[in-house]
Amino acid sequence: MPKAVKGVLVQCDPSIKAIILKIDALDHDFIVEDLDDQTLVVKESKLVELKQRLEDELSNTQQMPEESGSE
Amino acid sequence: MSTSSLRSFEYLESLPGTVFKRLYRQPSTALAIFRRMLPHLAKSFVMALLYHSHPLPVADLEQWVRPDSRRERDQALSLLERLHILSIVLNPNSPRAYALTNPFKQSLRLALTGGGDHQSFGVPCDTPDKHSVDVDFLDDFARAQWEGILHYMVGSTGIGMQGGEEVSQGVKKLLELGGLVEIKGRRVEITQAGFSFLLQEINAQVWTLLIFYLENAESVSDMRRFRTLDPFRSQANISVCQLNMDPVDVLSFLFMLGSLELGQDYSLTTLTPTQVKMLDDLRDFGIVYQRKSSSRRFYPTRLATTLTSDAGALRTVSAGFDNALRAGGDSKGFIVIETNYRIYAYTSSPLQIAVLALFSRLSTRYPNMVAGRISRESIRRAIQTGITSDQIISYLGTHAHPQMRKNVPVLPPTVVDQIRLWQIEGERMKATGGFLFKDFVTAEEYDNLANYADEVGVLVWRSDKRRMFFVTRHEQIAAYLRNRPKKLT
Amino acid sequence: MASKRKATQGAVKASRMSRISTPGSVTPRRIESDYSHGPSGLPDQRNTIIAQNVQKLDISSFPYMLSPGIIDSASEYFQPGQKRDLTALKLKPDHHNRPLWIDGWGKLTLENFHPLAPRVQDFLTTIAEPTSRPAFLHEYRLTTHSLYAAVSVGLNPKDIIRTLKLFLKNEMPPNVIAYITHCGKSYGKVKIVLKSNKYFVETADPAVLQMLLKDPEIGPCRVQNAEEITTSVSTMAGLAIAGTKDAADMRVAERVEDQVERNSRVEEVYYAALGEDDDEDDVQDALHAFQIEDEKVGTVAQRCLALLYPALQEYDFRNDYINANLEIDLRPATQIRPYQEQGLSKMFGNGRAKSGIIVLPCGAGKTLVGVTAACTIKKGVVVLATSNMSAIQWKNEFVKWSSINPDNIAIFSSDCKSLFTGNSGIIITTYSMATNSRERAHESANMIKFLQSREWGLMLLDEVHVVPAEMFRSVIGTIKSHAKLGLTATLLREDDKIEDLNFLIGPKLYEANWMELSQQGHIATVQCAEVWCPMSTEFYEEYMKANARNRSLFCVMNPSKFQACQYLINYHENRGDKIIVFSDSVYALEAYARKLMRPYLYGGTGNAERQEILDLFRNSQHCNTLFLSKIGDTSLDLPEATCLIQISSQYGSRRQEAQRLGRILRAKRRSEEGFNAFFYSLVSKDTVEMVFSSRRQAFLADQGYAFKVITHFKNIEKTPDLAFATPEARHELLQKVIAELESKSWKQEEERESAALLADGNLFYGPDGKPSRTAVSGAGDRSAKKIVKRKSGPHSDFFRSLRRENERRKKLA
Repeated sequence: MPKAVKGVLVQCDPSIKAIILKIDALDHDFIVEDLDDQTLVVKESKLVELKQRLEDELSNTQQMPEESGSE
Repeated sequence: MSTSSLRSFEYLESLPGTVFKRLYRQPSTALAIFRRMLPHLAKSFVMALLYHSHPLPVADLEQWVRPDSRRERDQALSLLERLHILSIVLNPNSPRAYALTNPFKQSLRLALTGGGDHQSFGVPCDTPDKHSVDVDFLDDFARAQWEGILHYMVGSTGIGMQGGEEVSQGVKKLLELGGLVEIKGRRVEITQAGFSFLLQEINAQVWTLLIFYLENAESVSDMRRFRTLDPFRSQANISVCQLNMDPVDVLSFLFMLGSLELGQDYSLTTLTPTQVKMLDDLRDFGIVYQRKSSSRRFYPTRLATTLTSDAGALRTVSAGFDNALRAGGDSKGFIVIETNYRIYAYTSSPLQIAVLALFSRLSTRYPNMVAGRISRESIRRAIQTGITSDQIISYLGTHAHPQMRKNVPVLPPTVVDQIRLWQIEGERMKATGGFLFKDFVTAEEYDNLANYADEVGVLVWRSDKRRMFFVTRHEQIAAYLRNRPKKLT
Repeated sequence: MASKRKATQGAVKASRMSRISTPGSVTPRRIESDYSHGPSGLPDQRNTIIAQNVQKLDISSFPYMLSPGIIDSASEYFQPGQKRDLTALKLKPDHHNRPLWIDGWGKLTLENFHPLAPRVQDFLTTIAEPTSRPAFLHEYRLTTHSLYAAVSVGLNPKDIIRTLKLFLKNEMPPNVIAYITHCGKSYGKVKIVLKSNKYFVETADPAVLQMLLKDPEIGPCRVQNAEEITTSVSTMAGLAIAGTKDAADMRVAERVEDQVERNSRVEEVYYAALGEDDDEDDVQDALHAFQIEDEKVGTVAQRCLALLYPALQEYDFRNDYINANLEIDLRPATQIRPYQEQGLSKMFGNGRAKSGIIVLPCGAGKTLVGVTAACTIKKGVVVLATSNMSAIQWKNEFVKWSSINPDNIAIFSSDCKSLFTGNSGIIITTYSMATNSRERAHESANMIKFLQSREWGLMLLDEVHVVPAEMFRSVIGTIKSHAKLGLTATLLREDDKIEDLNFLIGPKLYEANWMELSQQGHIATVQCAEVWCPMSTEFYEEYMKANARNRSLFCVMNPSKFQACQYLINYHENRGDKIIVFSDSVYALEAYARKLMRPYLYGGTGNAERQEILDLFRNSQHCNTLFLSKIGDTSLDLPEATCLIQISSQYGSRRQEAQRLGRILRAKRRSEEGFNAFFYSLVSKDTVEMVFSSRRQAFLADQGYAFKVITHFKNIEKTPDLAFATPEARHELLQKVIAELESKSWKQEEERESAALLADGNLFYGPDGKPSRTAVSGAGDRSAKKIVKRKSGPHSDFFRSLRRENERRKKLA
């Protein structure tokens, strides 16, 4: 008998998924099911928090190695 | 067809047939609907039937239209039926036939040929006004009132500064009820619908607002809700909420206004109490001018007299008004956007500047021009308030400077792409709530159910390899699962 | 806190200014101490005074004070505290007939579609810096330097203000008028002229002359017993710039006059005003001068600046009877283009040679401008090039365009040391050779002596924007030349040392408009695109773990970037394009080139092999793609290239971006009907490359280039033999990159590349995008030298294996 699991389907770039995996790695409290490189299911209750942490993380990954102070 | 007529259609079509019957008793309403709301083909049908003594057989009417225009014919007929102008006469002895309804037929005849004492086209005052005003004054008045409303929407109501009249509480509430703005704390924030509204031409804006007005005139419950929401403003001067207004009275009055003449003063004598009460609100919108509430005369402004003009006439009239609105500025195109995302707007209008400030970072202001930039940040800020990238692009395109119009396409494609990308970038993950189905034992079982989910339109994702799929709703699937074993056994 | 920070910045600026504050510093003698580190040579107190004075010449000392003229609900958007609301500056009634606005900060906005725009443009490039030149509205900025340049080509503040007023829609802010007047008061009043091998301080204003003579520092520099001389101004008549029809009168405003039809009222007023100016000028034609001691020129120049009279340097070459003439002329067939002529006319405006900088896009013929300047002055020339390769190219160009006897051209580089015969000639050297004072071999020492002992008529400084400021000071100080002409494609430096250039070489004399040259077909039309390459989850996880420096390797080795590159090569080779792929990372360069079976060149490639590969790319139909490391950024001349793909790039360097674009601007096929060159930057999505990319594009975007973002190539998956098409292949690649990072061998390769580049005389940028003598961060001066030494020894195994690999691939190709 198939099982139905409630959750939020997240479709995103592979890089975004990598960030979500990283966020989840701490206490495994976000991801319900890892589907593929661009898809996963997360807990509905954690969606808002996930979005917030994703934003933070994204600005992190695009930080300059050092501020050159030009311009 | 302009957006404004679409909006009025939607509203009108939702009214019950009895309302139409009452509406069409006014020749001015019948004429306004005929002029403003009907496409050419529908007008032809009406004219053909207007002086026809007998119903016209369906087959005959259909023959008037070339076979390759069947779609237009059907649309026209359907519209006429929905507006209760046309009905099908079913008689057991004769073929199906079309006839104009009454009182539409009588009223339209009256409107076209004159006669009767209906006074539905307004009664000009027979005494001269001691404080008479001219067209320029009325244009200025209308502009100030209307711009005041738009200003309020973009959150730039001046603190006692020029550039827009103080907006009445009634109008503020109406904008909020209509979902054009949201009040967050003490700040007014424009909504996505509000931004679309701003992008419309002025006639469409007026209709949009009037329909909100109509909708709220009917709804007493709405009134109560907002009273409890805002106890401090229970004194608010909002007639829609204080009166249980008759929509027929309201609509008839609006259609009548559309038939009045600019610069002429009209008497209040023939107006119903509802309509007299309405004048206060219409004055807030800038649609009519009345020196004092107690005054026995009123002037329609250009906003009123163009309400029901047909599209062609409307364009010139509205262009005239646009010019008045822009105080001598030339035509519509005033924005230049460059490939390095600098934006220049030839304007001194605080309203236009406020609209630009919604999605750009303005830096310099000259008496006749403002300059700034659009950036990832400025666009994303706009998007967060609910404005879409497409709305911004359409605004830039609509108001592009004549120099830019020499280019095809008008806007630099790289800029258009980038604005869209900035929006997409903000939506880094697409989240869909629902249910994941998994742990299927056989491929057949999986296929069956996934296909069924697809058929009923709830499937968003599937992986045949992993035998999983995701659906937005599970009720139908659950029912399907419950039913199926029964069939099997 | 903010004010504290400001104070520190001020101090830094002060010390910098003090070190270079020598406009027209001609003195060759006291250099060693002058350019060594730290503010030396001058007492600190004086440094501060000079710095303060220089700042007094900045518009920030003339703040805009007017309150808004319109106060309404829109006022709040215009930062009331920052005075960006200029509604106080009223519009003129006929403002529609005028194309220009001015703000209170010296910013000018021009309607480029206005009928008067071409004329105004020409005027504005003379008095202001162009900051944005896209399609419709152009922005310029009045700066200390731009006004210095304007004055040096002969405009006076009255001209400038009057002409501006004619073109302006709005009123001119009083502070800007005050600023221009103030600058004009001092600029151009004093000149230091080298005449008959004697230095003179020259001015047309007797009061200024008296002030200078009485000055406690300048007074003693005067040569005793020399008379004060008064002469009449030499007119421009009779001088023709080589290659131009007639170079008679090059005052901008007047030249404008030649071109116009007088139909608008504005124009009439404009000319009337100019006519008046001419009369005034005639009255002040007398010149006063006094001679100063040779070795005091630097002191005088510095003091002049301190007194707010920056001295211009001019060379009255027609009256130089001391230095031997050089037999050189443009070949009769050589035609110079209108914009080249325009630039040169600014240099030779009043019959003398002014020192300064001419800015032309890559591929627009900077070399010919240099050659023409040499042909006009006809005295000994020293050329400073950025690399050995470029030195050779300079020689070839001289031979190609001019009648010079090739024996009269000498080259002094690490590869080649030749002298010219005869009294006068051209010597071409590199910045590194001319400044490398350490470990000089006997031969080099002799060459240096030769360079330094002579008096040159003209010094041509190529690619001035890439050279570290201290190198400049050294070159300009040690080599004595009458006139200096800096050439560059962009005055951009990520280290804000541009200001130094203005005082070291001279003002910017001319800057071309890229889009205009492109529309006229002088440079190729380029389609620019930024390609976003998503990174796989696996790669991105590693990217996040890596430190900032290693991250760049994941960015460039991103398999989808690889595929995009492959797709583009396929697509453009099929179209008949010749493609250059640029990579800063040598490891990636090699990995890409090997996988895609295309030749590659980097700093470590031997000379013979390099030549062979270049010939192959230029001539063979079977070799249409070439992978290049940083060595391709400048000097390599490949006009066959029509398409450029950038797979990794140096941080946020706008300069590098502009320079790389320059590689295709000179495309041979540019004049073909409807020809487009292509410039792609591949960036890995969600990585730091995205941020860098938009920074890099800033300069080109302001020149009017539009960058299209491509997020997906249609049917990319159908590319034949698409690399890394399977998850397994991608995984394997990732493992390789990780292993590579651990072994650190890729860094060694980068260092080798840098060493080789250095040995070739190239100049570099550090990882921060600032110019430095060494390319590798962390590798200081000393380690770089070590590497050079290693390079000169026998080749390492690495180089041998590389050569073998190259040969193998060539056979395949």
